[in-house]
Amino acid sequence: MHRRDFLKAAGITGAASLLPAAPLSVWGLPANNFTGDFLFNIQILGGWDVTSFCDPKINIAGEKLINTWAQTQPIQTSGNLRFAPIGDNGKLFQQHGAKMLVINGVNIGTTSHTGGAYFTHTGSRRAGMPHLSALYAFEKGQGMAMPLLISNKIATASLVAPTTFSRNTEQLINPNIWRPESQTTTYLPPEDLHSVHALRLHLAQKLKLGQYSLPKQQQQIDEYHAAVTADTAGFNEFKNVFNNVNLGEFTKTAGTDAAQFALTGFKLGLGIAADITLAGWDTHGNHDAAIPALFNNLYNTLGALWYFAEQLGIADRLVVNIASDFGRTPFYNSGMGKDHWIYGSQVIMKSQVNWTNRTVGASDDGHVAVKINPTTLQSDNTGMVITPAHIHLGLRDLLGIANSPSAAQFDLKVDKRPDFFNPNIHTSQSLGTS
Amino acid sequence: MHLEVIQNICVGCHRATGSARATHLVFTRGTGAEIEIQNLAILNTFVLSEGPRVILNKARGLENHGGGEQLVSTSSEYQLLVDYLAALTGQALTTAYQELTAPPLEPPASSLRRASLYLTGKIPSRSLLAAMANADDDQLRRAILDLMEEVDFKEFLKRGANDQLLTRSAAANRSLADDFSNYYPVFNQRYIKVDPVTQATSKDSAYATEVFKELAEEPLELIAYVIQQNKPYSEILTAPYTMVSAHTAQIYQTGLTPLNGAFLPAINKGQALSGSQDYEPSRNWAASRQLIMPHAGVLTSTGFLQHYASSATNRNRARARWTYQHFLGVDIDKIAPNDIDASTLRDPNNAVLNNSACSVCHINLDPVAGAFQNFGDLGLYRQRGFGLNALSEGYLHSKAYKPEEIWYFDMRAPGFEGQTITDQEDSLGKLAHIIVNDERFAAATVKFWWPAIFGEKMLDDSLTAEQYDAKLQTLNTLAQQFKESGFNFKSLLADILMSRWFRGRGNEQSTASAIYTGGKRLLTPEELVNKTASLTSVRDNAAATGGLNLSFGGIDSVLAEKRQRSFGNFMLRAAERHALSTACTIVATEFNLAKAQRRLFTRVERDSLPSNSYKNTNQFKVAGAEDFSWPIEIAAVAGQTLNVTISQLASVHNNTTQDTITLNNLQIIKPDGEVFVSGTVSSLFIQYDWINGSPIGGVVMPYKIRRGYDLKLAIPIDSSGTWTIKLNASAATQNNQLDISLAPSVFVANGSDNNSREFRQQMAELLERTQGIDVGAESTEVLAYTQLFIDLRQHAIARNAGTRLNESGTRCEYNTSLAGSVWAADADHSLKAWRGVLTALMTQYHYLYE
Repeated sequence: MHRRDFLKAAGITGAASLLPAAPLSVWGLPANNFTGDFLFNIQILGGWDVTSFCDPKINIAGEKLINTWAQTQPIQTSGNLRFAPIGDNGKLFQQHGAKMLVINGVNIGTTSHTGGAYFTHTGSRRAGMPHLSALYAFEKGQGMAMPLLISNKIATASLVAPTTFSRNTEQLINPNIWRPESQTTTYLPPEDLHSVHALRLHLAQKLKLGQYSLPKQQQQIDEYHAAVTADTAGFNEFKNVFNNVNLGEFTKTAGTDAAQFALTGFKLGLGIAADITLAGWDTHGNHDAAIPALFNNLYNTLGALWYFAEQLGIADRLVVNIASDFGRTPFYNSGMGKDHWIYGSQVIMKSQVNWTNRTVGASDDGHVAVKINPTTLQSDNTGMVITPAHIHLGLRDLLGIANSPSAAQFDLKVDKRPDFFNPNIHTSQSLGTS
Repeated sequence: MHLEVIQNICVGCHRATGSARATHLVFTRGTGAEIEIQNLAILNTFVLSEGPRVILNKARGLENHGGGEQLVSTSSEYQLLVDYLAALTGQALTTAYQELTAPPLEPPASSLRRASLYLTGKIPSRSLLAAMANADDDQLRRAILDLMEEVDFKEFLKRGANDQLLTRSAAANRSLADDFSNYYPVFNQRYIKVDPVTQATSKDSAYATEVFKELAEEPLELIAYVIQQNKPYSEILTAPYTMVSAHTAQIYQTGLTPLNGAFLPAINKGQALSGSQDYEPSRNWAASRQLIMPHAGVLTSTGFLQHYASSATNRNRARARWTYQHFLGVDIDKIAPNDIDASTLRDPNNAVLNNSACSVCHINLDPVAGAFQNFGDLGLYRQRGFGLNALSEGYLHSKAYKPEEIWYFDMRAPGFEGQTITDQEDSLGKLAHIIVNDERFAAATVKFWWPAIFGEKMLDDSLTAEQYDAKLQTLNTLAQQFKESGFNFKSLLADILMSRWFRGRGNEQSTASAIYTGGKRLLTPEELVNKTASLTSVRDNAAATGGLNLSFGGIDSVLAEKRQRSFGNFMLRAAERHALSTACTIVATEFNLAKAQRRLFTRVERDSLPSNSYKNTNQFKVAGAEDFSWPIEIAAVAGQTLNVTISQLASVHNNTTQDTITLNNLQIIKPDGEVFVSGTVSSLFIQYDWINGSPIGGVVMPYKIRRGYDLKLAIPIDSSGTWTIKLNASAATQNNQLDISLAPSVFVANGSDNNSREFRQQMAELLERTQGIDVGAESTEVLAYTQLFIDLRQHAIARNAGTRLNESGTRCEYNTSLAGSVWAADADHSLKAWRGVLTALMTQYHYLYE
């Protein structure tokens, strides 16, 4: 499809500078045969204060101050969800609460950043485990040019070679174009580059057929071969699609740039998973001053992400997972900061499903996880405390990889399977005051 | 086993009141049959659920074992555990690694090639590699040590150090400007500009940027200096000096004037300490006093301190955590328990000091943090009022603070694992000396530098038990040798490069091959750019820095802190961009040099082609008729023709009558001797449509030519072998010039003539230089690349690409004062073809992995 035809089909010629009332959809673009969901994992780096977000806590008389905001404001609600009135949380829950499954009372079990982030994003404390995004990209994204997009290094267990976002990614959509703004001048005539690619493919296949006794060398050759033989057709339309995503009213940040890039890649069959970081959440000092901007950034990133996904027509296939190293103490330290806390929350987002706008799991008034019954999800002293392993088990189910060979290889070793996605049950959040 | 392992070792932590009480393995301390049965039942349950390997790995410090390494795999206790678990599970469990067969090693020249690229950024010359072909270990080791005497070795050292320390983040740390302008008078004077008329102030951010770059390099330069000056490596921590360059020499008031980006050792005497209650000396420089910095190598450098910035509640713990990691090889994070409970975190009685769940880390972490007591959040020395301390403002205003206190009363005192450091002014210097005398410093150094060579951590959880054991043995050996050498770093590096880990290669028959996985790895972007520059003299600055660097797995020390070591399509695109944007420049650079000065194209010229095409200039010995004969070997392939042009390229007499040549008779003889055509030129010209040309006057009776006229043949070739063109021609005057060119229309990659062989020899040399593989001139690889050359040249002919390399619509970055008609001359389209061939070579597996 030529650019003008594409724009015409998309119905967005001449409207790129205007924020539309509703996101425009881009339909009909060719993609590969993958019809499953896309995974967008957001790592909240440093440990987030969920008592000022999706597991809001007010103060308890006679106890240490949990939240300054709770001295003057009550807990807010949107749909079935409760949230704290900090920064743009209101906009986030009002606009996107219908797509959110909040999982509260998650016990990460450590206050080590490294260990907490690892457990949260791999679902296991055992060494050598991959992030869910890497596992998913490996299972469902084989043959794609950018199966997994990342903003900083993640644990992949050598399953997949991720693509790192950088400032010059646009230049690499078509490396032969001298300058992206000038599409006419190339380094090599196209037919020459075609011959170069044909030889590279021939030699890579020959290399792949060789016998290598060194596992490391075999892995290198496999990676090289996969890179050479990847399906890159989507790059032909990448620039058009990417540039015609309306940025809306959202502030352009590294997070929104990554979202725009990743979703364009998803749309064009180039990748299926992304794993990005939002930094700055390790608020050991001046916590109250820091968190509004952090939650604003989270809203901005999520808002843009869904806005872009709607335009690209893939919103109904998008799974967003938001999780952090751990939570923060339900009290302030001497520097008015909050230190590390083993309990946290996780948010899974998906549109047009019946299991969202719900909260499962809970913590008590002092933000300690309560045990729940895995079948009813209700508080149960004989029940279980949710850990990231349980959530990953659910996410693997959701993404259709729970029974895959790699899921077996990277077994989560949990014996209980909470019914997170049953739309008919949730966990009462009546603990505490609302 | 119960007594030797569980009771004597495990139960120290794995008991109800121990730091590992929250794990699934909680034993009971004591003896007696009942306790033993109970403990073994707990162990068996765990083993049957998780597998025996988990226990063995944890015992050896793997799998995030909080207690680190408890059993050395060569110990008798470990063997007891192996035997027990093997009996329990029925599995054949490996004990300590015993090398059954030595792994085959790669040739010494191959090792030197990779070592040279890593250490100096250069691919050794062909002559040096040839000289190393039969080198013994001593010769190879000496050659490797020689590499470390080269100037470019410094870049390797700085890059390798920064990959760990990330001090280059200082170059982007804008927060340093305020600190420096308030505490360093020389910086303040240059940074804050005052308009002499309006007295308005402005900031010279360009100056600050240059200063920050020097601060970022300062600790890396120190490490390089210590190594290059052959000082004991321990001096990287104990050096009572730092390194300064043009700006920092002034800011630190050293009296030195380093030139051209050089760094020199010096003492920092530039920071002011407040002389009043005001924290910032800039408020009253006159009342402040100058500090003579008590240096402790990299530990006191701004680059190090700002990267591991502190805060009111962090209290130097990040600095302590990374000091342990970098210089003692201890990852304190991994010791952290996995199942802390909320009551611990709520513990009102200073949990980090008193609660075992916290103190398991903090008991070691916090005294080291205390040793950093004199340094503030971004690294200023005692920036508080009167220069008394670097305590947080909140603490200074709290009831807890006592005058003249320089460290927090509610934290452990400065020290190191039980030793107290009492020197308040130079506590970091004292810590540095303790660390370098610690047994773990030598092994930590090996682990610190291992990734710079191998691109991966030395010990990680992906290793098999056999590999782990073998590496542990190597680590211990290297560390011991390093220590015995008096911390001779070059010797250590040579040992690493001589090891089987670097030199081992695959051999399916050898057990060792599964252990020594070979040193070949994906190049970093810096190494890739260096390699290209070394082979071609063309340096790709766009790829060396900036976004392309990141796209090929590089780091910026701020957002991207870890190198991406696995290869994907987007990295291939980055490599392709590098190749595409430099290939034309490389070709132009090479072919505008004399052959002897070139690095790659030493066997070909612009008109060299993979065929026996040739040109001939003949002069008539006398006026009148003369016979000529031109043989050419040619392959009969589809569409093949032999293109012959008979012309006069230069006038001898500059006289149209005198220069004229009459083409009388033409005969074409096939390889089997059969006469293909024979007759007068003029009659053949009329008879065959594959005979064309431009005779003088447009008439063909007889066929005459001079300069600007010619006869062209496109002989259809139906059999392979030597064809012969015979011509009888008459010159109007003695010495008249007759030129002929013969060329097949379709080249073949495997032509048997000398030109084709020489061309393939050139291609083989290109493969050897760029890929490090010696495949031979008649290999399938060489034939494939030769065919690519032929195809690319054919493309150029088909698209009428013109006679220059920089054809319309393409970009060539070559920068020269020569005229385009000279530097880009490419009438035969060979340079255009070489441009594409280089692009292909530079994106091959063997180019990107060394």
